[in-house]
Amino acid sequence: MRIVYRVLGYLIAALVAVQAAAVAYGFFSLGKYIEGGGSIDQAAMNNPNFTFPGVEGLAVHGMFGTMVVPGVALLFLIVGIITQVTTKIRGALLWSVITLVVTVVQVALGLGAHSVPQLGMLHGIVALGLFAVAFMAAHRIGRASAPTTVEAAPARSAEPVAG
Amino acid sequence: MEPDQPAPARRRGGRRLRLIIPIASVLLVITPLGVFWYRSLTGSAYSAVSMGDADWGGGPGGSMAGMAGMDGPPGTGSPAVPITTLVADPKRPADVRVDLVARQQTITVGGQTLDGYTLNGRTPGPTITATQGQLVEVRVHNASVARGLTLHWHGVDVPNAEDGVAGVTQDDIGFGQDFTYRFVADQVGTFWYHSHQVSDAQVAGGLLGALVVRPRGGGPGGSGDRPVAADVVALAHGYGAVRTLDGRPGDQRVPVAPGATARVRVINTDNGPMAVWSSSPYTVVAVDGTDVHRPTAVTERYATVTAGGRLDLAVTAPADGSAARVQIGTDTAVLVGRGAPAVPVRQPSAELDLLSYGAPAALPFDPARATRHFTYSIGRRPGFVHGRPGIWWSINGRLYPRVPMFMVRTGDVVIMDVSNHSGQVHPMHLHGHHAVVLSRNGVAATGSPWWVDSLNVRDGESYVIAFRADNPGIWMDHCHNLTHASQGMVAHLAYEGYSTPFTIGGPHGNDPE
Repeated sequence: MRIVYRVLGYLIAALVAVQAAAVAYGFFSLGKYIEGGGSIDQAAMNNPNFTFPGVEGLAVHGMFGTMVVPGVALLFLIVGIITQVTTKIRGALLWSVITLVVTVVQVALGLGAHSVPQLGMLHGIVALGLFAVAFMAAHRIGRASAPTTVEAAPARSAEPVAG
Repeated sequence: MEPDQPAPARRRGGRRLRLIIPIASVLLVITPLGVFWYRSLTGSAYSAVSMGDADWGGGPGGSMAGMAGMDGPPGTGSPAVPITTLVADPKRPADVRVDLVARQQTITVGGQTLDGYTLNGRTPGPTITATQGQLVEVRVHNASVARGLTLHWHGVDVPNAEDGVAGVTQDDIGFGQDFTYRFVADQVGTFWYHSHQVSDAQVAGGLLGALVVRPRGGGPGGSGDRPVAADVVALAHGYGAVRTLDGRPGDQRVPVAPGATARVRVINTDNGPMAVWSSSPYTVVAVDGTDVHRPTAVTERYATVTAGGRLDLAVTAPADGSAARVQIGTDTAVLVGRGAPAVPVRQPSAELDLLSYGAPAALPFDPARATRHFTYSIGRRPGFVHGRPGIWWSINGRLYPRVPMFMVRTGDVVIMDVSNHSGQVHPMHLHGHHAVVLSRNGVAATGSPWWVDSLNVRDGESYVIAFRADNPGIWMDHCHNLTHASQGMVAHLAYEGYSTPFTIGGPHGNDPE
């Protein structure tokens, strides 16, 4: 379970990196398309057959952001619950909860930015925060020594019970 | 050793608790998700009248039987009327006969080859024209469309059985099969037709065409107070990355003499609104197939044609012999005149506001006497649609299939409050009826009665519209961004006492979106 926890934590961090890469790629591709003489309006944006090279970056960002990352974060929470119980590593559950909360905030900012673009600024910054939180959650588990309880047990049984 | 004995029991009990709490927590997270997922599934075949929640709008009615189409129209004492009976007079011979053969094939547009659909070998399909009052008969043969097709007459308030919605008003026209549509062309104006089976893909692929109804008395329709020298259709459609008018990219020429007027019928067949503007003054003479009352010349403003909507513009060729450039969207234009066209003009920053355009006129009903009030509030929220998780469009807070079924009776005056807080624009289309805009964002309409069948509702906007329930049947009321519709942004307007024998899904594979 520790391994699953770490994998999911690092995966979320990696997905944040993917999101950043995808949206930047998509945006620059859009710029190149327009520089090359292309144009785009609402009708084009919503045409399922409309493409320009690199449009998949924007599509991936939207799809991953609304489905994949929240899904993995939810899974991370469930694994966090199980990990906390089976390994007793302090903070395992807490950090998975924090990661989920930051994910929810990040998704909400992303959706809200469609109406209030200024929220997009926060969306960019919270992405860095989410990367950090998920990375640290996974990293802590790797460094944490589970034997906080395992050490105590032999000590207890080795010690003679005082009267 | 005594202190040890109670400890193991405590440890055992504690261990059990330590197992129960996490299992309970995990179940607490997973169970509601599972329930929501399960409730989003629609099953292999379902009826449009059995999905969603009945909304009687504060008016009379409310029996389960009435909603589910088991009882007939109120006061008749008869069982539910199947909508298949709602047809044009079968004994009346047709005045206009059209044969259409639908094919699924590769199409070449603007040098680009892509998968698409044709009607009689072309896309857009042939323009169907009729004179007011004529009975139009269209025989459709499906030669090769794998998933079947239908034809929906967008903006024409046809009898319900001719509405062409797969799974609601008919089964789709299967591979190799035929279907005949018959309706009286009562309304004068510009309309279009398109498939309403797998409509997201088929409309995008070009299974569509224009429909023009002219007034009795012959000749092209007038443009308010002056006759026109040319009457053209400018059907805008994006095939892949190529934006076209009538299937051709770039500029289209309407070679009228200097000082002569052309009527340009702009039809937006794409999934989102387009801006239209001109290098010389233009007049909007009709919106969504209804004439504007006393329109004026527009300068330095762009007009919005929403997805599915139509604007008829009267444009006069400049007296100096040059051609006026009517820009339709960013990539295509109509050049009115014989000479050199005006250089492309930047889109004006100001928008023409139809709320205050033209002069007021009496309405055929009094909205103050409305018997039904409905709310159509568009939002966005996480959940499951068709079993898939995501953040989906909601109507009144609910996701498909728990969308509203707006219940009405023939003769009702209906007021609908449409608002959008979803972050994106939604072009809302009501089948079988035209509604008049009473106000937008609380500001009352002061211009010509703004009749719509396709209304552009932007994020943060709200409209109050009114219509009379004078066309019985079961009608879709949905976003005409067909991708959104396929994601569940669909509601229905249903007349009490009518039933449909058709199902969405099922053996025919009816799939209207």
